[in-house]
Amino acid sequence: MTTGSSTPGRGHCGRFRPLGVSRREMLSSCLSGFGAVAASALIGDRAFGGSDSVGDVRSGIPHHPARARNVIFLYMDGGPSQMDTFDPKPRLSAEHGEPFAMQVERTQFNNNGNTFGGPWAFAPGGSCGTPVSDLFPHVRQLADELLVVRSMTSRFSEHTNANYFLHTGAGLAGRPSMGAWTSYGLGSASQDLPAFMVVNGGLIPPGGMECFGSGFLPASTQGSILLPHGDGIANVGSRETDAGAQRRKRGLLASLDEEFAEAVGRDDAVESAIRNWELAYGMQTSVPELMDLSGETPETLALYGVDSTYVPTATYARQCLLARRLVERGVRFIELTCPGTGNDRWDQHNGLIKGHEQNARAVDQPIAALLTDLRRRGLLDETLVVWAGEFGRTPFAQGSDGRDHNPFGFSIWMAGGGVRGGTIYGATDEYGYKAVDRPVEIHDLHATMLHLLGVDHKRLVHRFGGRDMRLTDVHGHVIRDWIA
Amino acid sequence: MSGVCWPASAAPPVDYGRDIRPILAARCFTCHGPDASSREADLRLDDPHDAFRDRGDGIVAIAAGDPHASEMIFRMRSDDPELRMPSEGQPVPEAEIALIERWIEEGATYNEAWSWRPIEAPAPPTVEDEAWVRDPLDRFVLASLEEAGLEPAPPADPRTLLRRTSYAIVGLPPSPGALDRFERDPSPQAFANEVDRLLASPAFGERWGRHWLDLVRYAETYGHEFDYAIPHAWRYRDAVIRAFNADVPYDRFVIEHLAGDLVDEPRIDPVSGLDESRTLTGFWWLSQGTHAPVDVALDEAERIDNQIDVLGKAFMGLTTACARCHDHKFDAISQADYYGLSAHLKQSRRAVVEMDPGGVIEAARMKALSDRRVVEDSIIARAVLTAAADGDPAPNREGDDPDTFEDFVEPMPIGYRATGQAFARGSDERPRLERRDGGVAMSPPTVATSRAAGEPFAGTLRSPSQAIDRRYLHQRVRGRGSLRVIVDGYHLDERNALLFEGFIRNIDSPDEFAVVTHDLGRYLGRRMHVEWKDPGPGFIEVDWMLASDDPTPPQQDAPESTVAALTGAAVDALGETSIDVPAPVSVLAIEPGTSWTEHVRLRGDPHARGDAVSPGHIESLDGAVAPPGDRLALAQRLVSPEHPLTSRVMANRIWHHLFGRGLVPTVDDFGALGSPPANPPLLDHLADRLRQDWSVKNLVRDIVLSSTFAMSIEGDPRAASIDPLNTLPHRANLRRLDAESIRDSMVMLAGRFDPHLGGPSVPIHLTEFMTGRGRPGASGPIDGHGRRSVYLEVRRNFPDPFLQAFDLPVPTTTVGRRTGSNVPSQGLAMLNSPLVHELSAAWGERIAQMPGSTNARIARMFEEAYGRTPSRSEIDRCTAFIESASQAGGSDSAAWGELAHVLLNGKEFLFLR
Repeated sequence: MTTGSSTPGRGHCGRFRPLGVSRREMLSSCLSGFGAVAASALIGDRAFGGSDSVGDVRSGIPHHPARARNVIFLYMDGGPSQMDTFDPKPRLSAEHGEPFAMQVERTQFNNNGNTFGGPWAFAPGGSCGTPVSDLFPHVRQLADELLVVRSMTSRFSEHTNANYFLHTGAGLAGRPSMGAWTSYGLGSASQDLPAFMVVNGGLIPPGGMECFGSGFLPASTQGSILLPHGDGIANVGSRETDAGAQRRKRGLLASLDEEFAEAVGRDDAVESAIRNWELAYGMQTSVPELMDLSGETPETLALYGVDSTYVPTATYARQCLLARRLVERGVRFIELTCPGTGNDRWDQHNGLIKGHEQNARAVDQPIAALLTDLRRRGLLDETLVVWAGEFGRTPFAQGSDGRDHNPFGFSIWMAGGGVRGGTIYGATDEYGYKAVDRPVEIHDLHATMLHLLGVDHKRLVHRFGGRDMRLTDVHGHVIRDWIA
Repeated sequence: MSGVCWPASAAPPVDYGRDIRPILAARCFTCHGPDASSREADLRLDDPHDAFRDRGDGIVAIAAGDPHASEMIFRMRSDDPELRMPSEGQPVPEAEIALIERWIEEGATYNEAWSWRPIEAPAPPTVEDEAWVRDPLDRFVLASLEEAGLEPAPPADPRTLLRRTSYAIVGLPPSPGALDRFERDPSPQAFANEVDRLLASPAFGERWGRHWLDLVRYAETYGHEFDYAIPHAWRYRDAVIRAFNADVPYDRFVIEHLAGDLVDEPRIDPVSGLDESRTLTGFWWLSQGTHAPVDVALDEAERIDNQIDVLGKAFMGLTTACARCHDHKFDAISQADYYGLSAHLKQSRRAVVEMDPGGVIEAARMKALSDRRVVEDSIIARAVLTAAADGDPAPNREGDDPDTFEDFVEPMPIGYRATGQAFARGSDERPRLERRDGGVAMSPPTVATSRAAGEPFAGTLRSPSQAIDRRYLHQRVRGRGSLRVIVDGYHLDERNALLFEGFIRNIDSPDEFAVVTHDLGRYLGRRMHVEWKDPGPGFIEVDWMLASDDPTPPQQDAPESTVAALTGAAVDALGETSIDVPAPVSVLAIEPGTSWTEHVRLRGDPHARGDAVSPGHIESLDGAVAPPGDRLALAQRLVSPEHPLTSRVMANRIWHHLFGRGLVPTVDDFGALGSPPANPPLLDHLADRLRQDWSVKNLVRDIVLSSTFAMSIEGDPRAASIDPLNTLPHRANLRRLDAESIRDSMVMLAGRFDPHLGGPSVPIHLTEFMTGRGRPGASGPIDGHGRRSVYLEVRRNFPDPFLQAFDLPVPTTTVGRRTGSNVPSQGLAMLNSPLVHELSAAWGERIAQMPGSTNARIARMFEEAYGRTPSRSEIDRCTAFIESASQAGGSDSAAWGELAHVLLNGKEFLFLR
């Protein structure tokens, strides 16, 4: 790992005064740049946890050889229908319009109609033949990259709880997001970008920013919002109207800060703050550079659909392209939120056909392009791509033409980053209602994601409120069958 | 507890709370712990009396001092599957057995965690350097330093000390005048005068009130999907600020939080006339709120979990909510304790109460009642209607289970409660005459009515709670107002009715009674009560209420008003009475509800009932005395001088805020997993002082005037190995200013500061990065109208990005110690945010307009922002900067604005020495 350009030749770590050995070991092991700053925030928290377990845990990372360095989480807000995407159910179509044959659990709206056969045809994709519906023709071509999990379950059937659960492993706000845990555990490989970035297509999920929050972890681990247009990051654009003003200000500030740092005995907090200001200056350059797509070839732009006439596709294309650029820059965890299509996310309580078609249209081509582009640049093997909503949808109708929330069994997929592509894991019943073969919990997904990153989910802990907290709480199993 | 700190080499004795309890909790308590329902062999290992008991044939589980005679050790090591304990699962690892053995050898003392032990009033120790001692607390600090072989840091220079003190007490920078004054006369008396001046400033309450708001997860919206507003939350915030300013004794402050609705003599704010005691109970209701919960019982369990979490952490420093699903693994808090606390909340209600500042509404009501009585009497005296008013009330229902029926023979039947002034309290407030159909009509004699004194009064009537055992609830009502059914305390249907469709009904039928039916089929078995609300203009009258399995309300001839063809002046006087009634002030508060049997919930699952529990307390803290019957008794236990936690936790919080690090660094966790105090006698000394008069201001004052507080940051070099974290402490901690202090200082330097106290919050300034559901329709001013940060709106889903960057906590639960993050977004905010640019420019403009030389202006800026005069070199560099900036073509004030921007970005502004 290289060191920051503003302190050529040495990492930040060496300047910490002796404050306790384990933490120093953790710091000097790998961190620099942004990661060092995150770590310095931790230094400030030292011993407030009541023990030194945190440092010991982090110093051991990776706990085992990592299969992935980065995660791109394609969050499908609102809950896509499994029966209409990756889990074909012929019997559902056969019994379309008939009373639903299984016992129905209470749903959010409890306005349950008859069996609702999927409106879309399925076809096998790739050489593996994994069936994918006509909603995802582009992704279907890459079926050999996909590990489709058809037996995912959630514990919540309401968006906000389920979103918190999917993102943080708990159904209420206040826990750190999986991106925050990743950033906490691994630090950043980037000099001038945060370790956890959320490329916001427009739809912040129900539950708000807490879905990307750091909870009780240091604030430096929280997701930073990047917009796929304009400046990208808040306050990253200099407001100086006079070109010399920033140089002038920076010069005076540096001299005042240097004297202050000296006057306070080169205190860590002050030194870190000075370094953060340097990083902030750096981001004024690095973020515009990140956002500038002019260096991408016309072929690449077309592959993603950046100029698509369908605006949500163009937006998501920029998000996916930015995700690749963020991976290239060492950002650990990148989450993409959905662009609005005017259909209330994937949450089709009614108007399933129009809503799902438009939502799929927005993301299908960009996602396929992202997988293709990562593959051809040699980045897919070290980047874990996860596609998931907070729950699935019911195989019976809500009203006449919608589907209600269904946490009992739904599909997600993963690609790259050490997962076994071209395979299908688990199954729902004949109607796609409930997971029956090898049901999987969100905790298992989290445990396996961390595992692929070289982290033992049971050992990535942070003491808070009297407990050693984990992303997986007291749950979670690594699913070995998912790993190539 | 005797020594100041353990000698580094000696192994401390095995400690039950720290070492043994966690093992027993993990290995043994499931069958041999506090839970009677799962107990095996009638053996409790958590209770020494039982563990030491002779179980026949001289067998004892634990023989204190003799591990070999302890059956427990024998059983844990046994190879015989019939004997080996635990009987199922893995054997206990040898290392753990060895530790238990050592503990038994050392006497098997069941000392609970240090924080459970009684607060002692330790005598201040003698010290070598008597001259250093200004306050008795200094003796405790100095004794520990002398023992550790450390020198206390020299005192900070006067300007540094005053800047530190000013931020600590009021969260604002000292004025250049005050700095000059104190530098010229840095005597202890002069310092005491400055401290007293700061403590007397209303800014004290804003600063320390904000500290408190962190503990009660203060917010003004519910977060979640739509971020709905929490009604009237800011009134709680203002009451907190006023309480700190008035130095309301902390014990009283605690009682009012828990049970301000039950105190004998509520505390009335002399200015507003509002009931402060009741307003402080609003903290109970500041949690997140979920709309449309599919499982309302689970939703209530989560709400109560958060309430108990805040109750435990904020007041007792205990992670009580850990006991929701199981007995606390490390602290002596049982699941029964948790549900005993839960019971208090299930028999309380969230209420938006109609307050009557100064009792003016009540006076108007009394007058209206008596005026009306005169008029009515004159009519009734004509003996026209008396006959109708006599006699028993007519039966007005079909036969049904009387338990599910209320016919309002009394206007306020047992278990019913009203807030506000509208609802009649006694039978003498009925019947009521009204003009109708060209004559006079009399209200039905047996109704609950909110217009006994006339229609302008507002109020709410609440029924007792009952289990929903019939699908339908019918009630016969009339008026102009609303009524609602509340299930398991769930109230957000007032913002989003999903899953509770039709639970809230507006009534607009002033003359004719109509039957309103609620279909409660979805909530059979749940707990419910009914609320009738008279919004002020308007009224509500309820004739009867009936729970039934029949969707059709009973057909019956209810007594209609008797109309008599009367006319005349008296009858005319019955008409529109134009009484001038001030509007009540709405405040979110807690109200007593109906006594309710709570149960332990197995694994925390609200649908898995265990044993019944009464409203209770934490048994291990409060001993075997009878559990408190109500919240007031619970609160009184909490502030009893014998309570080991309340005063310790608060004294530690005060120390934490003044020094940047608590004596117990885990300020919200005084349990076994928290950090023990670095200097236990000092903490007890402070706790003992606090519980003498419970005055927060006195303790702040005493600590600030100590030699300990006055130390500089320049530490003894030997401390790097002896006390690297400065726990004793031997020097001051260098700290970054908190979010509010940074913003408030900038606003002050900019000359925009509005010292006005309290009131509705200033809307948040929205940026393009703040999107999502519930986004406010309009953005607030960039500079927040110059109000202090504590008055900026706290929206859960739209936190102020500037304050958030500097660690304004996420309001989910108690945060006694904020994160001290150090991230580039702070740099970006200071360099490029519109807020900092606007305020820098304003500060520059103010400086540019000041008379005096460039040097004098630069000096002024350093004094305002850094609390010191600049060096010659700094003046030279700043002068060169101003010249260069002016040459770049900007105006004079723009050049000064640029310098202002640099100085605000200086770390010396952001950090406190």
